Amino acid sequence: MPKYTNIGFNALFALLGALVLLFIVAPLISMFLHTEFPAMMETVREPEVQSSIKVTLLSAALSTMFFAVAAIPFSWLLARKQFVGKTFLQALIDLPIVIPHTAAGIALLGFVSRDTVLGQMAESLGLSFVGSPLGIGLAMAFVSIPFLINAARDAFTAVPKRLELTARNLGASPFRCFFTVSLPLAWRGVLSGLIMMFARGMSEFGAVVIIAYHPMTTPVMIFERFTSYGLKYTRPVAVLFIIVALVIFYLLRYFAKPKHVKHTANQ
Amino acid sequence: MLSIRQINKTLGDFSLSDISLEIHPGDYYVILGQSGAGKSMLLDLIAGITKVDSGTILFRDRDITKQSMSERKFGIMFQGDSIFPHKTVNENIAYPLNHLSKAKRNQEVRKLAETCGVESLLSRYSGSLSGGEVQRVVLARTLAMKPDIILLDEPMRSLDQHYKFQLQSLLRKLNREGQTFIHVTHDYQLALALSNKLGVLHQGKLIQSGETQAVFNHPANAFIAAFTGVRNYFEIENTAHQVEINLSDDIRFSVPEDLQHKDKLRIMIAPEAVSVSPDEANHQGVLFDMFNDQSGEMLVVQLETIRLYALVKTDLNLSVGQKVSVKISEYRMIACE
Repeated sequence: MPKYTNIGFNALFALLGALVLLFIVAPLISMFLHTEFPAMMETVREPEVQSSIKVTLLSAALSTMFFAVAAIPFSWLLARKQFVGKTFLQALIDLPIVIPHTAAGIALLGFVSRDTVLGQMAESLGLSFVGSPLGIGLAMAFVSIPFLINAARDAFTAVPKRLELTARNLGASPFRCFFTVSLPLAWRGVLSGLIMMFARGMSEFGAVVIIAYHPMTTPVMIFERFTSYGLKYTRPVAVLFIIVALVIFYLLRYFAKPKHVKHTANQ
Repeated sequence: MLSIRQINKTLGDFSLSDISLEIHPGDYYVILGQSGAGKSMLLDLIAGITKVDSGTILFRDRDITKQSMSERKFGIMFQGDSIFPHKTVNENIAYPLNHLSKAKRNQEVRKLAETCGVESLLSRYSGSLSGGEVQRVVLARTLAMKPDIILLDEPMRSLDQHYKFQLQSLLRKLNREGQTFIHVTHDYQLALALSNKLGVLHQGKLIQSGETQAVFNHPANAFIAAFTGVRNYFEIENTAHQVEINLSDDIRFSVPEDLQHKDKLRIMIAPEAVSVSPDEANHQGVLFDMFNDQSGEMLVVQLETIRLYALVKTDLNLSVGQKVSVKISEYRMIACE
């Protein structure tokens, strides 16, 4: 019988994995250990901190929801249709991941500031992108939307095409087919993309700081406290934000996780 | 009812060429062909999933060539499992019935489920259904749209024999009740069991079509004969118009009078009409192979120039390589075009 497992080989790979995990976890643990509990509690009670967390979470959630309305149908199109320039378009979608986020912020600012057409249009409606939650949401969406589009596109690609054809054959309109077959079957992947977009948006600093220093998001606040007061004063905010992010991420993943294989309707 | 006239379609390096079919109400038309013959492609053209390059498709004398799949009222059962896995059996069958009130819809679903024998599965999801049950649910759902014609793309491909028979029986029942079917398959036994009309598709061309029995009894060439399960099929030249021809050494046939003027003849011999006996002294051939068949034991005898299949009911205690002689009690001879 051939031997399929090799203890030495597996141990080496496990060791390499452990090193990577240590690299991720060690700085976080160190930060948690260096943060005193009373300082943490004081930070939790700070209205400025509370407000920054609220702005961050709300901006990330609303921008994710707003852009999802257009990004999800677009992902279906990318999954299902072949057209000239599709490869170029895919590369274009990934562009925000590749470029420095401060550069993305500069580019966005040049597009939505008060002296641009878009900026003036917004202003005539009493809105402003620069220095507002609207701008923060825009910056977050700009850098995080590729995560949603890519995940949703892969999820739609995995839906058997014959199921969509069947729905159309059974008389469903393209909309009914999309909402009753394509989207429900791709939902888990789409949801995963939404969570990734939200998480990435929430943690964004570079693009946000350029377009809206105020109202302050937590990543901007962490940077501001670090440059003004140093490491010790910044740690409690950073730890608090990481805890909030982890709890939200865990909860979202928990609710998105498949519960069990459905066998009967009343199960 | 459905008239397909000289349609052509090229996709990549494969072409369907010059396909013409006539389907009448109540027909069960089977398109028989090997894998890659173009069966599914032809079905897609009939369904309107893809458009023809040239030719015409008429339905009840109306040109539907340019109509999309949604405009043609043909139900399709695609190859593979096409049940919606996120919906219950009930929701699956009700899918095409969303224009009805809830009460009417439930009534209709129950009726269709009973017709297809899935009434006890209505609250289940596909994950807990057998392959046969899934296909019956899909059939019930297809029937719900009251299609003029149902197009079936190898619906029994992955089914066990037991479920195959169940589904065949259901399809025959629906056909008897007047439902028209076009069914593509590679399985000639299925074609024989279900269809009243048959078309044989080979390399993108419809090489023979007609009443099922006629195609099976008069295969147009050796390929069709082999593909439709005819074991002993031979094409013989008779340019000298002899009254007796030689199939192999010592095996001669009288040519019927009306075929004596033909240059080429086809001879078909049922394996049941061939008897084999061990014969060391005056042998005509050697036993080349033997295997079990549903109705006995099939012996393959290598004669000088041909291989002959013989179905024997009793154990002759023969072994491969043994010298044997053969006797043919009846045969059918027809002229080749």
